[in-house]
Amino acid sequence: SRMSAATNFHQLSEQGISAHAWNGDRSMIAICPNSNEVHIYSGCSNPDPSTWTRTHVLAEHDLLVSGIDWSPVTNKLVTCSHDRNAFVWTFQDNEWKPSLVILRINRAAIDVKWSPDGSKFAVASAAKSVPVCHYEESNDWWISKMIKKHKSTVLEVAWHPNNQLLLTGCSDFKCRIFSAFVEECEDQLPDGAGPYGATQPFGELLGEFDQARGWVESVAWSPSGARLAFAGHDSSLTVVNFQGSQAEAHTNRFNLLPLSSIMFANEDTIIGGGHEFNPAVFTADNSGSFVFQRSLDTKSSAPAPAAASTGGFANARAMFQSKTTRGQAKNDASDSLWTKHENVITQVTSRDAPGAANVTQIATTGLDGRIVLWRL
Amino acid sequence: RNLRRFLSDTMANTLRPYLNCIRHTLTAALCLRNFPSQVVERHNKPEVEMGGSKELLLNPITIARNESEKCMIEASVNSVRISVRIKQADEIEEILCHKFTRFLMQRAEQFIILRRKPVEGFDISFLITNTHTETMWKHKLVDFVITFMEEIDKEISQMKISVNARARIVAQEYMRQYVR
Repeated sequence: SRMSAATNFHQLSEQGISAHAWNGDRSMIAICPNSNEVHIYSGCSNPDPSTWTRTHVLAEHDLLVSGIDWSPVTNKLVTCSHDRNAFVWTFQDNEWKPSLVILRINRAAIDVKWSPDGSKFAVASAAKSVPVCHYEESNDWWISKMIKKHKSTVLEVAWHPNNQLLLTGCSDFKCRIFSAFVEECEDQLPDGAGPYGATQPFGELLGEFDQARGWVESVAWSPSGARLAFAGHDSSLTVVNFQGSQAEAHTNRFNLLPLSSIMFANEDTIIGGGHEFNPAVFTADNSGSFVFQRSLDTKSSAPAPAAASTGGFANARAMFQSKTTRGQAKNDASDSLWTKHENVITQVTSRDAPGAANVTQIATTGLDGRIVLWRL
Repeated sequence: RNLRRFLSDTMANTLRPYLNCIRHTLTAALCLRNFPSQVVERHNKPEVEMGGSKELLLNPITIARNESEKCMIEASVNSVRISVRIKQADEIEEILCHKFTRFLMQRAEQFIILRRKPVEGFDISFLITNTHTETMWKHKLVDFVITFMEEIDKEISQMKISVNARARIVAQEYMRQYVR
């Protein structure tokens, strides 16, 4: 619909939000306020984010927590950090307890995602590899198998709905598809089960796409898994359609600053957030190529409300504050941005049920510390 | 006087497009992200200064107004280095420019985004990293650099005029003793 998206936004952190994840029924959210902690809020079914309450703080990491994911199947949280570690958190006795993960990377972790069935997770790392971890009952820990073959830092990973194909975006300008089949977790798939047919051995490189002329910052599969998309730092969005195992790629270069995070709202719509501070909607045209349709944030025509003047002392203090922080006496209206986000959007996620074929509610978080809820 | 006005008009004509070009390039180059080092574990360094991993560096762009005034923008995944070569038409301007930029660079901490040493071949350099774009408004950072480039030329011209005026006064006073 062409109606302006109704929104609610809230300043959840002063320093920025580096990652966030919703639980299965969207009643709780875990965020990292650009630090080494993870804050969990509940009461998130309420559309007004200022009513959400912070219920838990998880502080096990030493450096920035760069990725959080929450499995809707097992209700376990996984967090990964620049300190080369990842933890799996289980909710027991009203507390979140961390479990050991043997990640075996010697550089920072950048992103983490649970597989659709929650039995394993993949971590994108600066060690140019992707460890895929599953649980080992005998020692009560999570152990990893490595996917190598990347030439630079892996920036994002995304699982195919069939639980076995993994899409990776790397700063060597390529987007790759690997088999992440772990025999301890699942059975082999027969031929015809997905874009690359029968199950391939773990770590096998199944496809490589080099249409992007910049770092591939975000990758995503469509809800059915018949399409994938990746966004490059050259302000491009490439979509690959699969007919059987034939792959057909369409690249679109748009006139906006690059995207940092993309997701499919349905088979024909992609939402992307990034350096424009404004989520953009891309829709499929007849040839299978996705073109920019509109931005979700629009400038309101109503004039900005005049700041309430509470008295001479407050005004004088505001003037001196303004002089020290901005070097000018007045708080000029042209200083502030009209967009709801004042800094880069770091993540776009769905607020509808997990695996929904048509998403109409999304959330964006950014380095300005705000979370904004949008309705499409 | 007419010649001087004609020259200043043509100079002003090239200033706006020059600064606009720099503004657009900076807005695109300042799309930074927090990027931990691939080379040293647990470290986070500005990749444009380290220069180790070539895939993380963008091509440097030089925007030149004429032979003597230019601006080089080197971008990378988490940092941008902006180097400016200021117009120095004669020796006095060279000395003034050198002293002025030295004054600023010695106080680089106060300026936050200033680099303590200019890049080879330039007079002054800025280093902007992802922490700066996270804590400060990007459009204000760009405004600052553009305003800086506009103002520095004016400052140096003003200083040159006052140096000349002072020299004239000193010479007059000195010569007065020889005039009956």
